[in-house]
Amino acid sequence: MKELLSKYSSLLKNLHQIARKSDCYLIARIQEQKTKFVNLIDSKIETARKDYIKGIGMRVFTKTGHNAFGSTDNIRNKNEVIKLLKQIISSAKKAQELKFATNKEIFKLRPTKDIVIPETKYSFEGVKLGRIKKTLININKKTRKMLPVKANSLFNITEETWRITRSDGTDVSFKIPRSIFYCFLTYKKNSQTIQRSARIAGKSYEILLDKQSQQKLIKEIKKITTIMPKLIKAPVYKSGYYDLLLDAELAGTLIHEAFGHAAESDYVYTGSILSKNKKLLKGKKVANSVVSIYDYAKEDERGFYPYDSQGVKRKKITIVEKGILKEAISDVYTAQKIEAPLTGGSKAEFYSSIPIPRMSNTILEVEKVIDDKLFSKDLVNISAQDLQEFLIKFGILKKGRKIIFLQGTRGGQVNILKGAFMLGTNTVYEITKDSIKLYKPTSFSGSILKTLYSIKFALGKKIYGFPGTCGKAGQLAPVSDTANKFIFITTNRGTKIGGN
Amino acid sequence: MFAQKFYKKFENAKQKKIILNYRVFLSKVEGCQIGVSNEEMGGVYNPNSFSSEISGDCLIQWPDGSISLANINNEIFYHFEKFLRDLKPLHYKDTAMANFLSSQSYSDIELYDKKIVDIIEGKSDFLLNLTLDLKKWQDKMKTKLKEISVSAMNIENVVFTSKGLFQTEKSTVCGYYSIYEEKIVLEDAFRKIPKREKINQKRNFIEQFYSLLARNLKEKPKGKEMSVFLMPSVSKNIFSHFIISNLDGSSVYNKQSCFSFNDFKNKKQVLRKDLNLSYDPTIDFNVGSYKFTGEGVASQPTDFIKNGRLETPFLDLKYAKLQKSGPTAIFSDPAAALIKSDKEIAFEKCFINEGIIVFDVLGLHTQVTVTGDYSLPVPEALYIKNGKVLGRIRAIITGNFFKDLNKDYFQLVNLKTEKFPGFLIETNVSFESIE
Repeated sequence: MKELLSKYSSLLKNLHQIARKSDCYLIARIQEQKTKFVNLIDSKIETARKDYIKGIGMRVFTKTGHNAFGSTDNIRNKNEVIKLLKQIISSAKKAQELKFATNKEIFKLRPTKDIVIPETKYSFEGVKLGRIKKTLININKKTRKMLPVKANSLFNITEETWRITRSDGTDVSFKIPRSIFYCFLTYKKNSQTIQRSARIAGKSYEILLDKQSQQKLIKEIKKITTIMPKLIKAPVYKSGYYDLLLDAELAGTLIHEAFGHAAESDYVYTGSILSKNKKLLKGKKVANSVVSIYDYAKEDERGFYPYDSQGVKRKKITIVEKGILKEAISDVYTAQKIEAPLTGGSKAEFYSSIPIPRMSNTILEVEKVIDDKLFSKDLVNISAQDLQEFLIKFGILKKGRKIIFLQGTRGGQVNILKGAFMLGTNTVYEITKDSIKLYKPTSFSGSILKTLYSIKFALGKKIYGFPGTCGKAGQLAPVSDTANKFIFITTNRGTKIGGN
Repeated sequence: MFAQKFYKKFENAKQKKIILNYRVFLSKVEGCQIGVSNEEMGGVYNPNSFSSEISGDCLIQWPDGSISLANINNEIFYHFEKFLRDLKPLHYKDTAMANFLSSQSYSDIELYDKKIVDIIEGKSDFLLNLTLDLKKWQDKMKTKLKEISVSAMNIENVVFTSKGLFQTEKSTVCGYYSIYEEKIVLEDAFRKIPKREKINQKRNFIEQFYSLLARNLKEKPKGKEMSVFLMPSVSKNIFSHFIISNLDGSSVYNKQSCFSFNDFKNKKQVLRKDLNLSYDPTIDFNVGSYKFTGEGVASQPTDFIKNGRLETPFLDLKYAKLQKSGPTAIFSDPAAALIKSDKEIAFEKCFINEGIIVFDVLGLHTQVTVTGDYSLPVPEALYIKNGKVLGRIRAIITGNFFKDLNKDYFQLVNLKTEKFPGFLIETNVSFESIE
């Protein structure tokens, strides 16, 4: 970080001078990223590697708002960087001659200066490979004692640093430390195979080394290994439209996939289900009035970034408030065009990437909550049996009624133009007053808006976040998805499970 | 030669006995791109772009025999001694991984077109003209949404080792991607500039379907088992997801594939007898072709499935050693996989009495690869009844891909405009209303 702040100041000053002399506006982004990755299968290291990248991305705007972009990793070669900048300037001017699209919104921003360096419990080089390996072996050993699985543990720690400067004098620098651990389990019996995973995320090595973290992970793995042999024998549930109970992991991912992408300002401008004539349908009722949706990551949450890739401060975004659409995840280029407030929503994965609006931590909060001491327990400790007892106690599950409990997810995808989503679930239970039956994982798909309208209440006030990785336009972004512990969706023709 | 400076650094470290052996793969890529996003040509999400980057990987063996893996780029070159010092703590033992090839014999494979380099050097307006054409075609089709991206890359790959291997490869790639309102994708990639009529042919083929997709079906048909034609854009992804991923040597060895090494040893019958899968990276100007892998293994055609029986997983040096076998071709472009059958037919001869044509599926990445089970929403499908296309519908297809490929009904369907075939399968289809 120190190097980014001091060593490149002279280069950046030079670049901005060149841009000014050519009557152009420059946004220069320098990125430095360190990553350590360890993959252990059972007790053997499959891979351990270290990656390091550094480079500069530059976008130039002419006074007319025409733009061009370029990047290089050869940032130490000042002449090469300058040569690239001149090529970009020339290209922006050619875009002007050819009457390409214009965008002058960047000129309206006010300058900002800031440095943000979150603290971490451990430094990037603070833990040796031997200790990481020992911890992962221990986790895999405990897992294999629970069930004879193939345990594949992956640990990734990253330290990402950015310095973003603009022609208006903006100079922001920030560091984003993050870590994630995945444990993939493969269980085979009688030529049938099933796979599941557990994951935990944080800022550095604490997710592996801290006792509380380890215990949480082992509990989650225990839950998975208990269910895996049963899932192999489980039948497939008949597809259809049912009353559904989603756990926080699935509900959070639903909001991310089914709604979050449609609220990104580039998609709003293109034409998502949340826009008309390229304008955000602010004030429109898009969900049941008990539903609010936010996008905001705190410093210790996966998806956190204090400034966006244009150097605009990232705000807490209220996308939906009590069922009414309010804001978009917007960047400077499309906020005004869609008539939404600028929320600092753009992100580039690498210095060579074009920044686009991205989610951070997407939060579903359902106001109508039925609470009970049951929900003070950790999500992993709440079983289908617990839920059955609770649903009967509160009169939600009566004789003749069934509720399909969908647990966990492997991710999903959305068609934002059509408002259609699809998620893969991990486990399906049919819960009635008299029985709980387990079924194989299934798909969960439907219409975004119909599903949101059908969210009726939540179980448990506290919201619960899950780490993940989002893919868009060939770029990956670390994200989190958060929701109340359980969400109830009433039967509707827009939300279906399975397809058979 | 950009790699010489890197080679000197590694060789110097070896001479000083800091490292025992090394293997380095480097790629120098220069590229440019332009496109249309939100109907804006060269706008903020798809501007004229240029990139120049050196990237790659290295495998280092230390004097004690342990190894380390890391990436390589310009920045690392400038701090090479520090890079080695910082890397050393991340070392581990893996004798199978410590493979360093000496000089090999490589075929001459044509992968380079000077005309693509001219584009990058600004001497040709090919990208601009192609973008304008793609936009004009979409204007003509009255699409409300235009997303177009065209790019060109000049690539120089180098692999060298401490055992005397030093090999280079020059290649070019040009490609385009355009989506017609999230319904149909028109895309292609090539090593040399194709004739315009080839692009036109592909476009005409796609646009006939786009016109048909404008007609919504009024009545929702009854769901049942029926014919499903997966367009190549879908079939290659599904095939890669369920079949190619299970052929990965690392997954097979680590028992994370649905196939075991014994299955390959016993040449287990996994597909219908007429089906064969191979990969040939030696074909001139094929996007999936290469002269050598990242480990320096020479390009060679490989049969993976022959007469429906497993032949070999795809093996890098490590898993070839563990398997006591030779390394194989690697699927650098799954779309270039050659899947062949005695029963393949031309698209023009393909008849569906009742079924759907699928242009896209949602959520393929969420399906578990080892089981073959799938349940996939189809946002864009054409419904066929009595051999006639009636209109656009939404559907969900559910089944098991391994079972689908083993049914007598399954056919490979060749389209003149596509390298990878479409698949005609029979599976469960349920329908959703169009709104």
